This record gives sequence, C-alpha cells and structure tokens, in this order.
Amino acid sequence: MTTTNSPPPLTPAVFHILLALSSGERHGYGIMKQVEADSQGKIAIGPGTLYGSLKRMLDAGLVKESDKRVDPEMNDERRIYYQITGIGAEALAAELERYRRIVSLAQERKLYPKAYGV
Amino acid sequence: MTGKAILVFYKKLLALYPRGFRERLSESMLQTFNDLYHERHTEGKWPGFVVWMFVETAVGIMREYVLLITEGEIMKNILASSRPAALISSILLAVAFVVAPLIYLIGNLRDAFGPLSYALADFLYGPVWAASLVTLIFILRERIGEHAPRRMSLALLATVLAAATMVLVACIRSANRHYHLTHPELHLENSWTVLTVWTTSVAGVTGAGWHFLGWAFLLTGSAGWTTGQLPRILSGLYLVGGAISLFVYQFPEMEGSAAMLGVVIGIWQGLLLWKSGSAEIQTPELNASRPDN
Repeated sequence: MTTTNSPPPLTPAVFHILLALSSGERHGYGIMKQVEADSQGKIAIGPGTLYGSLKRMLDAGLVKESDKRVDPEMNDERRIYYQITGIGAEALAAELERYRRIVSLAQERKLYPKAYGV
Repeated sequence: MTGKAILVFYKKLLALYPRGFRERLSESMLQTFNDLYHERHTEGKWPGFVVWMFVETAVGIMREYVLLITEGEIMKNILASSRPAALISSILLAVAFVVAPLIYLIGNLRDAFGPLSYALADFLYGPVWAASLVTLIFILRERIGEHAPRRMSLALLATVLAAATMVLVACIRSANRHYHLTHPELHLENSWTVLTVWTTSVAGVTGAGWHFLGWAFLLTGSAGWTTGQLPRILSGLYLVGGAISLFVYQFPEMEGSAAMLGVVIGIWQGLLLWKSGSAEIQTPELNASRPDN
C-alpha cells in the first residue's frame, strides 16, 4: 500500500538502473556493468530488459538522455549517456526508505538469521 | 559464425521491435550488444552469451508488444474516436447475436443463396461478433479500468479468448461447408460419423466461447457493481448474462437466453458509452514512477 505522497515501489530492474545512475551518467553498457558490480555479479540485466526499462523510465521522467559523446575508455563510437533526474532521485530515495523500514521491521521481529549477528 | 554475421542477425532481430521503440533505442541496443560481444569474445565465453542475448532480446520484443497492447496504444489509435466505435460495435454485436442464429436455424445450404447466407452468418458470428465485443469491452475498460484494474483486465482477456473461440467456430463451420459443397458426391450430410464429429466439435468450441464470454460479463458486471461506474440494472444484467453464458456448454438450450441478454447488454452499453462522451472515457496512464519490467 502506498500513500499519495510517496512514489509506488520500483521494479528490481528500474531500481538497479537508478542505483547505477545515481553515481553518474552512464551509457547502456556502462549501466549493465555498474548493475553487475553493485550486485556483486548476482544481477545481470540483458539489453531487452535494460532498454525496455529505460524507455519507460524516459517516458516517466525518471531518467533523461545526455548528448552523445565518446567514452574515453572504449572505442571511438559516440554513445548516448543517461542521467538520473530529480524525479528519479526521489523515486530511488523513496525505494531505499522502504527498504530501510523493512529492514528495521525485520530487526524488530528478530527475523534476521543469527548468522548475521543481529 | 563471425562477429560481423552475429551483429547483422542481432540488427535484424532489433528490427522486430515496435517502430517507436526501434527508432528511439535500437541503435544504442546494437552498440551495447557490440560492446558486450567484444567483452565476452575476449574472455572466450561468447557462444552461450550470444544465445542468451538473442533469447533475452526476443523476450523483450514480445514484452514491448504486450505492453503496447495492454497500455492500449494500438487500440487507442484504432479507437481515436471511441463514441462512434462503441455505438457501431454495440449495433453490430446485436445484429450478430440475432441474425446469425436465425440463418443457422432457417437457412438451407442447397438453396440458391444458401452458401452465401451461411457465409454471412459465419462472418457475423465470427469476426464481426469478435471485433465488436472486444472493442466494446476495451472501451469499457478504458472507462472503468482505473476503478477496477484487475477485473477489467481479466474481463478483456476473457473477451479476447471468447472472441478467438468464436472466430475458430466460424472457421470450422466455413471449412466444413466448403468441403460439403465441393464434394456433393460424397453425401456427407447423410454420414452419421461426419455429422456427429462436426456437430460435437462446433457445439463444444461454441460452448467454450460462451464460457469465456460468461467470465467477461461476470467480471465486468462485478466491476460495474462494486465501483458504481455502471447502472445497477446493467451491472445486474452483466452478472445474470455472465452466469448463464458460463454454463451454455452444459445446457445448450440456454444459448438463446444468453444471446438475448447479450443483445440487451450490448445495446445498453453502447448507448451509455455514446451518451457519456469521449471526454469522460478515461485512459489509464502509464504509472509515472513504476515502469513495468
């Protein structure tokens, strides 16, 4: 259940893309690599999912395109970079807040495995 | 297979995306695929990767088309003016409900106009019935879908299934008639086996069509009743019509009652949508903060 003030929950793909873009502008391949790094290699987003999500995120104003430019670490092709918008940052913050509440709820109910030392 | 050939195939795969998506993102997708391919090729892990990329992208293409349909962009274009569409659909639905069964009941295949009238009946009870019903329920979903999104989406799904089933019945009838007419020497109308198989399959598939229609009406009636977006009596008719249609497969003699209720519901709904005006027919917007994926 969501309130009218906070954005509704994000899908995992959208959440990870926003998280990847929160540390700077990236092109498609850069987003994929960052998602992989952020999840310690546990999440791999394919191009179908990545660009499908990006299209809807662009439409929803969560991200925007930057000008095409060359990535100095890659070949000389010009690429479209994506950057998080204010709305995107708010949605990400709201999602992280939801996670924080769930974690504190789990801690209150002592749902964490003992191995976690909580 | 060389890297260049793989890239060409991937480019062809990307051409299958819906036009808007393709024009906006396919160049970046190809670039990303190229980057990933070179990375994996260097690591020597490219064969499995290429298969995954193609499958994942193919799934993505299907998802885009599903979203295009469920978000209604295709239908929105078709139904740019939904008021006339609703009225025309309701009239066609009523005509299909009344005229087609009459032809089946009183028609004679061996008459001069027999094959033509049967072809008309199949066209009415198949494609026309299907298109009218889907259009009507789609417009209705646009109108009350925001208040009962799950039920109206399920109602639309059931409607599509009912429509597909009735088109299938029309195809079976048509194919059977065509075979009868092209092989008069076989006197197939005197063959008990042929008649039994034909009537059983037609009646069975028709029953399935009514069953799906029953679910569509029940869900629509329930959504209209609880949200108060439809008149109570109309919602009640949807529920009664749905309940009857649901069991036509077990009690075929109820088909006439279900059809008459279908006529009343269709006309009333069409008039209601016509009167309510296109301005009131709301379109569920893409949730700005929760793109599905």
